[in-house]
Amino acid sequence: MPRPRWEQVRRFCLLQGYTETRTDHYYHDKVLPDGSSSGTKVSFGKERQEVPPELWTRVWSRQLRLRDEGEFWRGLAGAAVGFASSPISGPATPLPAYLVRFLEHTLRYSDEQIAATSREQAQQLLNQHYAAELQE
Amino acid sequence: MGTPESQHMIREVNLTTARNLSPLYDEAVRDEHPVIIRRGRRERGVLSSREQQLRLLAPYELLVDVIPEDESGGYTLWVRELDLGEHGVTLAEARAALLDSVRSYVRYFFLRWDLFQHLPDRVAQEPYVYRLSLATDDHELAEMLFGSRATAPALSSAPPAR
Repeated sequence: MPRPRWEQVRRFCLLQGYTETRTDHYYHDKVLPDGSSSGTKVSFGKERQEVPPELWTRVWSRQLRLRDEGEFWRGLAGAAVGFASSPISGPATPLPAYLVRFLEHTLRYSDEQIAATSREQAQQLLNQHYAAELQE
Repeated sequence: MGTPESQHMIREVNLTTARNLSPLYDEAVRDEHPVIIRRGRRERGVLSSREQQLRLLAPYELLVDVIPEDESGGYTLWVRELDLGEHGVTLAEARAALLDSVRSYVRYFFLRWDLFQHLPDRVAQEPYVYRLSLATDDHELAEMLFGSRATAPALSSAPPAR
């Protein structure tokens, strides 16, 4: 599935009746029927850029709370979209590819060790790997 | 014998009394004895020190995930508690973008509070947003985002024994 540009994310929100608020970014919000909210932000000057893949997964699932990625493209074409009733946690695979690569190439885990590592554990290991650099 | 319900547990003054703010400020901020300031019968504000509020909000730790963008390059940083993320070509660029984004979101959150106070998912963010709003500079904000929790030795970075 293709990845959208930020301007398409903004257009989706406008087409789907989100409230747009301009501050130092474009913010979009919509109240869903279950009382939760769907919303995202588009930064000025980034409209023509593609949304990076891992960020995009979190934008459509965690921020926009769409039922699946295809709902975005249906909504961008003007159709009604389906929302997840509660926040979903991203890909259902045991470990996303970026975490498998980190365990395999950086920590030199075996296949068995990778299989025994939960997503939460792997993400914590990755966070720790970069922690010192982030704290500078 | 119980305390009469009408006896306040912390000092309460009306707005007229609070116009002489300096002694109340000393009491609430320097001595860390919070003071309630009442206007009319229903409105009450609390004057307390920033440090005291930061201590109370300390359990609301934020966790930032580092996500390498292997396909397109760069890094995404994602704040789980706020469902908010930023991307940068380098980790330093992503970090700077996230700090900017968090500052912006905190301002936006308060701007939209009339609506957000009715939405449970946004209300759940309130203590985290409030804690972040107390940061006085980038260093303190970064400490809240990238501080102890991210580096806590909850897990060993060494691979398990084969």
